Amino acid sequence: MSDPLAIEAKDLATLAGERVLHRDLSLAVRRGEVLALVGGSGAGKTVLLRTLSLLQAPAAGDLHVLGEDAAGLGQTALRALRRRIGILFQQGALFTGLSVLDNVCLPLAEHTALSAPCRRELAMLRLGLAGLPPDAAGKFPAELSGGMVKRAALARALALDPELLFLDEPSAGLDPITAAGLDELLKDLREMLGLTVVMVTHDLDSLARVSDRVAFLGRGALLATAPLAELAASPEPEIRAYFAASPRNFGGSPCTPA
Amino acid sequence: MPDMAGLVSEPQTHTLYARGDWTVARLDDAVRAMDGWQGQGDWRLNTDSVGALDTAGAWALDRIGRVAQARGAQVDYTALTAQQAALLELVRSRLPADAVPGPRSVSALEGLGRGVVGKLTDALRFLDFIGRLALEGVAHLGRLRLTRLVQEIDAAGVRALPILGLLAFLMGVVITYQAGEPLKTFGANILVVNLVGVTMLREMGPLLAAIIVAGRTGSAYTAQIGTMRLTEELDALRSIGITPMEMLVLPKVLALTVCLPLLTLYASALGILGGMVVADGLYGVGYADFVRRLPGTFAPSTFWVGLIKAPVFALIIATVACHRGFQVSRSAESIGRETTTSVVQSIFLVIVADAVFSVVFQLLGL
Repeated sequence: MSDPLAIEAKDLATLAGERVLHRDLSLAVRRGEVLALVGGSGAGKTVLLRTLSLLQAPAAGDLHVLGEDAAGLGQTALRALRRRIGILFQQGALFTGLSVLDNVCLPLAEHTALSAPCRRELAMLRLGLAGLPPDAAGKFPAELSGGMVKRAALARALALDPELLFLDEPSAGLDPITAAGLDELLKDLREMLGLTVVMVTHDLDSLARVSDRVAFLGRGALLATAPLAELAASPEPEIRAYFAASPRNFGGSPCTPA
Repeated sequence: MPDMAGLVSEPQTHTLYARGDWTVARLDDAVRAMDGWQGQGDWRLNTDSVGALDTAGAWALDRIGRVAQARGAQVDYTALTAQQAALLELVRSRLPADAVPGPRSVSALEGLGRGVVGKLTDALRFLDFIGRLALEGVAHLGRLRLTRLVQEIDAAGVRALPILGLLAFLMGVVITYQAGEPLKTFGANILVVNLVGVTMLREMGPLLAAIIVAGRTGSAYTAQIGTMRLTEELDALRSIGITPMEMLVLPKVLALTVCLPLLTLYASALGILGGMVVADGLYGVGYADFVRRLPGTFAPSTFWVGLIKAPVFALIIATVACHRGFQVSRSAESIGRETTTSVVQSIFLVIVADAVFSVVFQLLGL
């Protein structure tokens, strides 16, 4: 339990269909850390996230998640491990046949023995944490705006107070105020609960606000894993090009608009 | 191993002791304990032996206070550690003030009303759909998409041949066998030719083909159009200036209208073939006798009566299936629901139409 690493991947290889997407990729995520995965489109960020979150088995290599060896897990152990992991999917992936409240209640009903009113109250708390107004609870996913779908999906990802949270482009489609609020929430939760977060993002402001380290994916491997300020100063041409596309000041202090 | 969260009250010191891990999966006992707790007056909450605390645990701690308040009692939270207090503060600030909405129940009367109105609007929408199909069909007939039409004919017709052929053959076998036994007792074996010929051509062929096509192709049409609606592909088509009617519905309707008569003929032929095999094997009616006798057993009208039903069945199946596809609302469940409805409705309407045909043909003396 006292393993200081939340995720430890050694020589990981992943496939997208027949194509090798990553080869010999090694990555360590410390507990309580916010690690951002960045890289150009098609660099395999989402596939890597799916692999680390146990949705897709790696083609080769060792993967330890929350101290458990992902390869040798039986059904029961896998289910127990999944309970400790929350995932926010890129498109939200809310269950379209359930109301927002029921979407958040579902994991609670599955993994706890709390009474229905208690589950609903807890689910409302999750919605509040994710920044959704209470009247959104009774709505169906089809009736929500894109930003609200994201927040409802975040509420569902947080339903079981996961130790490890995977976020696939959490701030895409959110207005700047909501995106900043989301970052604040992540910071609060990490401080208070020691939450570990692995996020794929293209939002440089969000990177500057919450990430402890940034892992840059390119050419099928991790080109660098470093705090943002260091990474932005990297001599690697791909990384330079990425950050040069929208220049910002990533100097020592948190990003301030020029 | 971590402990379940627990809550113990000590009346002497008016202290509530929270212990164990107050985390989401271990809260059941603690929540039950606070619901059963009957303390009055002022209480202090002691959390010294709480192991882990997450937001659900903080919610439960907060709930103690609310449970107490409902009875006029008070809980003092000052003994919490700074970290616990901070988490409690976060949870309190995000918990909605008003009561949680319970699941909305629909009364029987409301359900009945909604059901009736739903069915009526359904019927009206279907009429509207047929009207628009007719209008756009005439308008776009000039630039009919031939490639799409051929693809649809291949999918709905050519690929249905193996399964339809097998089922029709077996149907012919079964009918001949069932009819042959009683005929044999009268020594009228040769009459199985009349029986299987008329049954296959007039009723079984058209119905069998229509039912297979409704299950096989109708469901596919509904699911395809429904999914395209869900993924906004229909809107994308409209944005390019192509109406879903001309691109999707019209080729499908025309393809089925072309295919189903041919499939009907094919089903009838294979059904009769099945009958021939049984007649030869069990009832001593050889192939040559069978073929020689067959043309004389029915009037030419029998043949046309069977065939004329097929395009009507095709129109029913294609329009119902496409219409149901457009009724898909934005949820995955509704695709399943509409696909089921599509198959059930089209088979239902096909059989109703078949009954109407029977009555009409009877009146016309065909």
